[in-house]
Amino acid sequence: MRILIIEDDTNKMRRIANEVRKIRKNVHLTEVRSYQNGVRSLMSDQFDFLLLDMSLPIFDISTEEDGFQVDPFSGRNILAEMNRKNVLVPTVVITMFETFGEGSDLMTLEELDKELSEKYPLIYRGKIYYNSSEINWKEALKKLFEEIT
Amino acid sequence: MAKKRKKNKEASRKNQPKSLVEFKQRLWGRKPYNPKKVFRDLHKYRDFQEVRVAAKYVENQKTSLSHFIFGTPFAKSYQEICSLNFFAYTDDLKRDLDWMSLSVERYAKEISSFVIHNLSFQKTFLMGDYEEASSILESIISEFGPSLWSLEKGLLLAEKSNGLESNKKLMSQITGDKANNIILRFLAELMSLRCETKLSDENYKMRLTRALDLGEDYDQFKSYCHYRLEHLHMDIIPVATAVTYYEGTSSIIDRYLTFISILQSCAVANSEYHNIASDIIHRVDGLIQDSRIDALAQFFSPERVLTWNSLATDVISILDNYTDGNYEKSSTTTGKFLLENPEIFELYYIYIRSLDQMGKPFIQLFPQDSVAASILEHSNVVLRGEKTWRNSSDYLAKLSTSLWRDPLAYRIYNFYIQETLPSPEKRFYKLALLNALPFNPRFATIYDDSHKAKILLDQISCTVGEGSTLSLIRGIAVGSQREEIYEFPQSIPKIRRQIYSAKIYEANAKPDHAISILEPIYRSITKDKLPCCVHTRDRVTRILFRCYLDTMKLSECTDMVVHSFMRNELSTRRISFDLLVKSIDETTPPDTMRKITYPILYSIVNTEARTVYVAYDNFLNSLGVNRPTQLFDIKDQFHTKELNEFLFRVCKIDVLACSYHFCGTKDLEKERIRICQFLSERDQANLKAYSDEISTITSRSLIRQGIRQIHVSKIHVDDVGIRATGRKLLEESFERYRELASMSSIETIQMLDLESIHFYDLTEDGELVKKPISKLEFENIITDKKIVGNSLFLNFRELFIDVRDRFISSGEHGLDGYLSVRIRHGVLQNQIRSPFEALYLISEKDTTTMEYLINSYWDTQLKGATDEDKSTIQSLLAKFSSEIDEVSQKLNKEMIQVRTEKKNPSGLFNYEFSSLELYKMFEDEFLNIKDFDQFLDSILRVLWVRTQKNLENIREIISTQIKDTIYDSISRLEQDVRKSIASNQAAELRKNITSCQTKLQHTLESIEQWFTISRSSVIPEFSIVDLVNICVESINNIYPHKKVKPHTKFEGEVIIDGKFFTPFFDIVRTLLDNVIVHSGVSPEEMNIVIETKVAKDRLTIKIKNSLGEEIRRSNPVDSLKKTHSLVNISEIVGVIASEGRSGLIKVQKIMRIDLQRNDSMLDFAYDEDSKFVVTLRMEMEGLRKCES
Repeated sequence: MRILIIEDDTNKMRRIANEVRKIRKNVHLTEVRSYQNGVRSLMSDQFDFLLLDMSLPIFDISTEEDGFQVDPFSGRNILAEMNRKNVLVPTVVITMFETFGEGSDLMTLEELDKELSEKYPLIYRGKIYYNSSEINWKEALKKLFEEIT
Repeated sequence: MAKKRKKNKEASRKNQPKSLVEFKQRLWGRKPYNPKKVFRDLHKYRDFQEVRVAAKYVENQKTSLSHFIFGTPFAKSYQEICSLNFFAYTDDLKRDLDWMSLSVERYAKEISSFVIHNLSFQKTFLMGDYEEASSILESIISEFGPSLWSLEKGLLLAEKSNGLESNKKLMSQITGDKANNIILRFLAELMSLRCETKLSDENYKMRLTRALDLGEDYDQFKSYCHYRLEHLHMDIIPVATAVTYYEGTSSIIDRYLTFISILQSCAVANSEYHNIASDIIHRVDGLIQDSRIDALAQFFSPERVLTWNSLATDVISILDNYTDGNYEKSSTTTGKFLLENPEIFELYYIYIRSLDQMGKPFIQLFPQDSVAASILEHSNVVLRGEKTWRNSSDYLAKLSTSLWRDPLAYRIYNFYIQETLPSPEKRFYKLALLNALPFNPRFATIYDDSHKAKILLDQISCTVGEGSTLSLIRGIAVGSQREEIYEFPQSIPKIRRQIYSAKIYEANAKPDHAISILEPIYRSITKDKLPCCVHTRDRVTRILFRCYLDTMKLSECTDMVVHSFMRNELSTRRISFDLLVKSIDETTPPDTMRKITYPILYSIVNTEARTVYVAYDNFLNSLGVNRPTQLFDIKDQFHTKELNEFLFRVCKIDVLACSYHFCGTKDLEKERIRICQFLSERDQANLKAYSDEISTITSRSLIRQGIRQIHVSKIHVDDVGIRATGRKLLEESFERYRELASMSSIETIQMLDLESIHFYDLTEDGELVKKPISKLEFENIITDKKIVGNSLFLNFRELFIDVRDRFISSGEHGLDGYLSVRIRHGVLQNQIRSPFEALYLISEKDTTTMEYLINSYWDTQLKGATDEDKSTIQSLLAKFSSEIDEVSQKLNKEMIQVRTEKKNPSGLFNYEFSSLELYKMFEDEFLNIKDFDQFLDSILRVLWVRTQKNLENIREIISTQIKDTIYDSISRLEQDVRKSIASNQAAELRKNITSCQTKLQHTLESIEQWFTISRSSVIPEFSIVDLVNICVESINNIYPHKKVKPHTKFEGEVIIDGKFFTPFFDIVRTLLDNVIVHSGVSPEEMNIVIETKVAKDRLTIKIKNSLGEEIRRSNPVDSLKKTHSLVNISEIVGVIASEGRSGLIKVQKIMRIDLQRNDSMLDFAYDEDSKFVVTLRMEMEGLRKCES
């Protein structure tokens, strides 16, 4: 099973990857850390499953690169691109934020979940709230894996 | 005799209507005597016929009962205004209007007299004869008593005739007199604000909203205030009963104007209200000589015999001249007519359009500086779509607000929205007609029913004949509802006949017919083969746009609107681009999406990069390319202007960033710079825009490098952004503040003593109660009498708080946004937990039970331990985890918060400023600042100083309190573990507890570092070599075809603190820029040499270059020496402003002010090879990295 994880937080990425390996043996994980690399991977490779963070930098952050900007809705934009280019990989959003954006763009995770379910029914499979101090996300991830596969 | 009188009285009583007898019984026969209750019941529950009978009775009584129905129609002084005599609250608009109509009927004669006086006042006011206007206003006050109307007009007259000072003086007379009702004083202050000429509509609305933020208890009062003070856009009907309540017993003038306003709104509303207004207007029609009553009556009954006045013939003749295309004659006759009748606004645009149709420039008709002159001038700008269009439309919007509900205000407001909005509400068009002349044939377009329109037009035709305007309107009003096409009179110019025919085809759902008429016209106009005025061209575009949409000719539609936009942005201001985009999104037509106009259209409509990107990407995909620069090779496939527009407008960095064909920020910037360079070659006219953008990108790139180098500190406020976005409003408020400061004739402008303010409001029973207002209460801390009433200080405080709020809360640029994204959103908590997580010391929490779970790692690791020991360890770890999470939660939710007077009392970003603190600042520093930028700089400096103080405090708290708390927890854990389990069984656990302390140290240090100011220009340090290289690269980006390769010579080394990078960068780049722009030779001949030397703590930078012959003859060294010798430090800022920021003066300014090099020197000379040499020298003390 080929799984793509798009996540910019190293610690969160590590924990998610570990958890996925616990849930599923024989998985091939591809880890990318930005919107750009995420979209590029999706356009060039085949995946069976996508674990997607919502707030991401545009480019991978490094000592040379500041990522251009961190877009609170990068994950949503990736889903829009997948939908537009007909890349129908089952996707779960995994985020540690309960709200996104600011001012008039402010959205709760529930609202975002509803929007994504309505807009991308063929791709979007649900959301998981991640908190490093809690375990609930692991169970939710396991459950979603079972449902999808 | 007495017997006879008694007999007559009895007979008369017998003849009295039953309802009157009963009313009298209720009034006089019941104990205790309570007339208030009787009249309230009469108003609230009785049939209108009973009310009318009672009113008649009261009218004839020589008692004080009259005021229960007729209020105080003629106030003796302002103290009687807004005094809220009896008026029952009903929430039944018909009842209230009926009740008001009794007074209107009773005082019809006085109202008619007022209408005539008002017209005279308006004419003189518009013509700028303020002395005469003032005298008319005085006579109105003396005849009818003061009113809110007279106060409004007085303030407006004061402002227009003698400026702000005079306005505030009059306001102070009302607000400063405590015998005046607080509602009047409150309204006076806001009315005065509304009259201020220099205050924009936007700014007024913002201040009004703030002033009316009174809390939920004041809904009725707020509704009334909105009606009295807000824009005409407001729909009165939802608040009408609150309005009648507050105005039901006021001056008969105010009452009548409100009565008319409500009736007009009812007339254009739904049938329920329409019928209410219709009934009432039939009762008062004929009693009052007012064209508004005539217009309403005509609206409800088109067959009613029209009321003609002496102006009718002239107006219709002017309109006919215009309709027939006799523009010369219509402009001349309109000009003469308007000088006598400046209130007839609809003729303003006939005059302007006549000139425009003839291709003539605007000629002012009215006396200079008069209100009429301003209206005419601004209307001309709007109608012709000139560049200052937005300012002019703002002026008209504000003026219509200031004129409140004058007939002229409605007409100006309608003009404003018709000319600015793509789909203005028809309501305003109708309201404008109800405030205009009903004998103008255009009045027939008010009817939705063509039969009614025909009745009115036939009536006009019978009286003045079937003129061309009447025929034209007949075609529009009647023809658009018929199957066959209307034949317009041949006297009307052909192009206008064609446009109207097309409009009728459009209305009759035959858009194809309309297109076949308009397309040839549009083509001729765009090819300049058909001369026509702006108005005609825009009209053709608009109708064609709608017809293309109706027929789904999206490709043609896109081309047309994009081309119109590219030709003149303003010409498309009334086009609903959104509708076109929606149609394209829904149907995704491939032929449209292959066109270059398609992404351009999306960039016009959308500000959101992602949406523009989709159009951009679809278009590029259709060509099989990934990047815009790939289009350079196939540039000939496109129209030059379209390709330029696409590259400049669409292919911006944020749009490119959505594409996955770029591999980093540098790549994006490089692409955009290449686009700008390409455009510089093709479009010389906009060279500066392209150069500026290259310069901006280069600077941003450098700034980003700087930020990367210091590993991103998280505290940032984009004060450049704050200045840019808030500048217009802040500057306007500042100018107003300065003007108030310069007023010499008023010692103190009387602002309200807000501590004692009470407003009246209604209880549920409709009783009037007095309520203190808490929200507006002046801060208790201010006891100094000097402060209370000092409007200058209050204005300063308002400005200061405005800037402060932008600094901390502005979504785009403010501190709180950065804190939220960069620190609070999960980042801090995870960062604090991370060292413990790595060592398995922290447990996870189940959010359902809120309990910490078994730490499975230790369950398997503590192999020799008993179950009881294991359980104890798990409890200790859960307790420890809870303590750590509590610390991070507290930091997040309470401490890393922005604190102001109103929120987050525990926030460590403390931006609370007491009024006393502000007052001290105001007196010590701000009072004498006269320049806006200096003023803003000073406020920002105060805020940065405060930020610095806050950050020091936070770092201190993290390194002490937070650290101690966490260490205490670790310590407790260590002790508890030691007590609970044998050391050999928990060796790893104890080792981890020890080592986590080191890791924690690093973590907290790292968090502490977040709390330092990140200046956008900060890089840690730089050498002169770095500086020169970056400057050369930057200048070569700006001038790609004048690339320079200076010879460099660096003597001595110095590492300069990064905080001085920007000023140094500006100096060297400015000097290089001067060489390129002013040397008069090509880059190859410039022979630039840059020499730097650091010796004896002094830095010398020399830039040498060759000069062209002509430049050399002008002897630049001499002239520069003269200019620079005249400039001393105190004059530098002024010289920069007055000389348009001359480059070399700017260098002086940077050295002396930004770098504070008082002994710096800038010299000019020729060297032995006759090269021009600029030398600058400065002391290095305090600039080096190690020193600062």
